[in-house]
Amino acid sequence: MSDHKIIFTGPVGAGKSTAIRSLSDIAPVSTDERASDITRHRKDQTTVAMDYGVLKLDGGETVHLYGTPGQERFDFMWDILTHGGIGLILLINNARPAPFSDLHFFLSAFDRFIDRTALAIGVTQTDMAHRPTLEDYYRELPAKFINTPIFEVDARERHDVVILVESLLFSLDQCLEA
Amino acid sequence: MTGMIMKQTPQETGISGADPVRISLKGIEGLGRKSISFLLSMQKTRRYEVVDEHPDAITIIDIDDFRGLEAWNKIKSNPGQSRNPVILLGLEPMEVKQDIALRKPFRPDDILGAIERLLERVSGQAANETIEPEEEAEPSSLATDRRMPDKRKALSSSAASSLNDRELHAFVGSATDVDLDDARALASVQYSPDDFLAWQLNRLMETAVREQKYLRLGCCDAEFYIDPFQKRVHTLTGERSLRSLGALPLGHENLSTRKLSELPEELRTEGQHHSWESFIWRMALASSRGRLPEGTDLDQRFILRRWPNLTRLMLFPHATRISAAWVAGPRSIREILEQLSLPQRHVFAFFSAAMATGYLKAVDSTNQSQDSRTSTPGTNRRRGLFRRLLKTLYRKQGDNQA
Repeated sequence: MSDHKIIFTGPVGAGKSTAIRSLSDIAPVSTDERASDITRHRKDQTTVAMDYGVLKLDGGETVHLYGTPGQERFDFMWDILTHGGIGLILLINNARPAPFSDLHFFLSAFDRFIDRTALAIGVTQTDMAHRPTLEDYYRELPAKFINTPIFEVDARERHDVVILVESLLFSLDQCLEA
Repeated sequence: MTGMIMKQTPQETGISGADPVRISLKGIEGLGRKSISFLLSMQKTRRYEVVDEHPDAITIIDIDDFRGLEAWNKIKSNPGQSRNPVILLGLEPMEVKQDIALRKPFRPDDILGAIERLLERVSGQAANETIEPEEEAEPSSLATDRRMPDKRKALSSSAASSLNDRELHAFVGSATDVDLDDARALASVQYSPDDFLAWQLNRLMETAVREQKYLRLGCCDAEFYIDPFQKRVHTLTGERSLRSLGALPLGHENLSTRKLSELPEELRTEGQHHSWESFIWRMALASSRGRLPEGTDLDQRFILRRWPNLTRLMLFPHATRISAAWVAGPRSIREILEQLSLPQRHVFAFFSAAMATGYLKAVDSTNQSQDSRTSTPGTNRRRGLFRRLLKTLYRKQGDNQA
């Protein structure tokens, strides 16, 4: 039986764990632990290994939902993690001090994977920080990402996360019939 | 609004709940009467009863008929007497205040929209008289810019929620596909955008931005304040009335605009403010109801400047799919229809909303290089998997396919 995966990435506090929880058919396996470095100032707990959830499709197939660790010191895992992945969901926390830096960091880190697959970006915490706007994000994106879907997202809302995944799939295959 | 209705609850008016909505037709006889009666009898969302006279009836008057004109003159001759508002049908433009005028020719949906709007006025006024203040304001399902965290969740989920059947009819219509090469058939799925609220507001926003002034639009009994600085629309009008206003052709004589140096105080404290994008998107859908703006060239290629913020806009079936196709490269309406094999009304509704909000732009056919995006639809060897994945997501969502 084939297994497939969607990768969720983004900086600390962007909502990766929450988004996976919103979609997963199982109680997500989260390896949140008490952070021992600078992220401790932002969250009491942060993901130092990875989040894992599952979507069970009709017919027994499984789509694995992986959330990358929020700390850059685990980036050696990312290449392994993305192998065979369907696409990348990048969550950006708009309330962080430099969201565009985060954006560029993750685009660069996953550049090869995005080239092979597709990308959808969810901007979270827009209720806490109104700017930058989505228009600003589009202006900031490198030209090759011009078709990328970017939405305001509340990771707690399953519907928002579904639209992200949906846009990812339709970006990969425009003739896909739902 | 008349005192008679204002002092009644919705139940007392006999036009809500299980009671039928009573409709009195004046000056409408023969085939016209049969047509309207048939139209009303076909409605599943409300039960109508055509009556000769009833104190709570909504009266529809054809003033081009002498009996209708007589009935209208009789109503007007007693200006002090409280009465229900009426729907006037006529060949010439009419100036009305508390009533609704429909200029012939009109479509069945126009009549239904007018009735709906009067019902909402009545129930809204009745609610003002009988319901606690906290319940007066209708909860808006538009995404708003109120950023209070406790409101955020409800707003988010409602804004992104898929449409139920009734809303789907109101915003995407129910028209069947037509032969696009048949001019008459095509005309039946077109509307004049200048007659509708979304497009009026759009033009006013351009003025407001250019002149850096707030603008007030008075429209029938509603007021809209355009804020070019925050890109918002402020209004005290409830969501259901907004839907009706968005769907009805507006008599230009009923519109008034005024420039303001600042917003009225009560709007800052009580009014709803909507993000420009979500408001215009929704109002444009209401005006379109699955139709195309008049004069749209089916072979003109368009492209989405960027993805619409679909999590905060009124989402309807296939909107995500259409977005993906139109963001990938320049395509005409015909090409989109051919590529996606969707009911025309969904593509037409999307086109209307995306044009009104400025997401879609025309591409100069002589200069295709202005946009480097490919026009070749992408496919994927994992299509079967994607389809199963979408099916699973929709099933668990319990939604219409988006």
